[in-house]
Amino acid sequence: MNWMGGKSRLGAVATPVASKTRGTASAVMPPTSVTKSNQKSESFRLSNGLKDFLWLISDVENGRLLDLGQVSQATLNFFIERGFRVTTDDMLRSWKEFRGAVEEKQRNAPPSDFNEPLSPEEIAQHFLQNSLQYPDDEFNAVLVWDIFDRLDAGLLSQVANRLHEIVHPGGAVLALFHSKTPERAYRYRIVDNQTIEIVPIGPAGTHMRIFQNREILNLFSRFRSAKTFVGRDQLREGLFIK
Amino acid sequence: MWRKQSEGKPSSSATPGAPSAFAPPSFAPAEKSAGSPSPSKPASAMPPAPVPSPEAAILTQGIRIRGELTGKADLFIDGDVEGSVRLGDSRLTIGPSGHVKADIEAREIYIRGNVQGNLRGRERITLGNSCHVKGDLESPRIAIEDGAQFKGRVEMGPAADAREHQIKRTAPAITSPGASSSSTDSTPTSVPVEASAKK
Repeated sequence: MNWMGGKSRLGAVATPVASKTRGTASAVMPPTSVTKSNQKSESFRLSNGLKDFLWLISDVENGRLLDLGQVSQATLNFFIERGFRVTTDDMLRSWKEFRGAVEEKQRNAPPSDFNEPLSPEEIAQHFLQNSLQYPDDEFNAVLVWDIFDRLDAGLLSQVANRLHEIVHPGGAVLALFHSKTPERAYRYRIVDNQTIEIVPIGPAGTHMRIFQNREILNLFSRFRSAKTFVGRDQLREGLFIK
Repeated sequence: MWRKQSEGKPSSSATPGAPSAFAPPSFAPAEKSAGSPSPSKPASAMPPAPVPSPEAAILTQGIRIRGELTGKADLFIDGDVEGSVRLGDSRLTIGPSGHVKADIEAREIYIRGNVQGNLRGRERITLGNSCHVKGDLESPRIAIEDGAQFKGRVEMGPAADAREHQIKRTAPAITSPGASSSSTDSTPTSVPVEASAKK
């Protein structure tokens, strides 16, 4: 597999793990537009992170891509047309369902010394025993979208480590991080080589945190290189290469 | 339990919203496909609204089957099925109340309910907006409506189509080894995909 196509593309991306935030990056086109009452507001975002991500995987033949967001026909088509085999795993939904089931079970359990409630870390551990269970080095590319903003703290490092395991050496991970608390929750679709469609799907009740750039780099410290872009819309894009 | 729809007594049109066990499925996507298309989904690519064939057999809500379902007629499942479903050249529709834990093979598969299992659609698979699917999809055409919940691998395009034809060819007789390996290992290239019906 000619991942880098001769001269290392990583050279242009970043040197080992010490990337710095580039202020250039993403333009927003147009800014998030809020339309009338029951119409959806949508925005199309020029994404340098996506552009680099696609460039990195452009030479991959018979590639495998993991999409950790909600399934999207547009994104699916985009990658399948480029020869990728796509796996979709709506991780945030799985996590919410799992956590809800555990909490309900604990509520309904009779009080006893043997039924001590699980700690958040233990719940996360149990969840990951059945989630992201893919072979090591399975994927050439992973779309994480903004799930790190919305996952519980106990899961973050474990998910990042698991991602590192399932990504093929040289593979790329694209993640988004909000730099300010978003007003709503969003789903994302790839429109073309450098445009992401951002579609609001509900209140931002599940948004858990704002990452600082240093925290992002620490979270993905196992990756060989990292690069982040900040857009004028306060959405930070992270590109991580194993 | 099993009836041809034409033999059904109560008319569906009389109770469009009622979840009658006898009512033929009412398919919402017709109205969805009229929605304004997003730039990523050209209107021309929208799938036609799935319409149940009048001859479709119906497995109604409240019925539970364990085992292997095979047949040559179109089938609508709104009950519980566990095992396997093989309909060959027919269409399978799983209604919003359907719960299926099975590997499924059919010409067309349209899902609005809950499915755990691998799906192979000879012509098309459509995931409706209310569906919840865990399993792998394999079909020349796959349409996914917004709101569909899906976890699994997707394979579509010529490779999935070729593999299907290859399986049909190899079943009765001998096939040339070269043809076999090339189609098995090929990857989808250009994809005659349909865009989401719902926006």
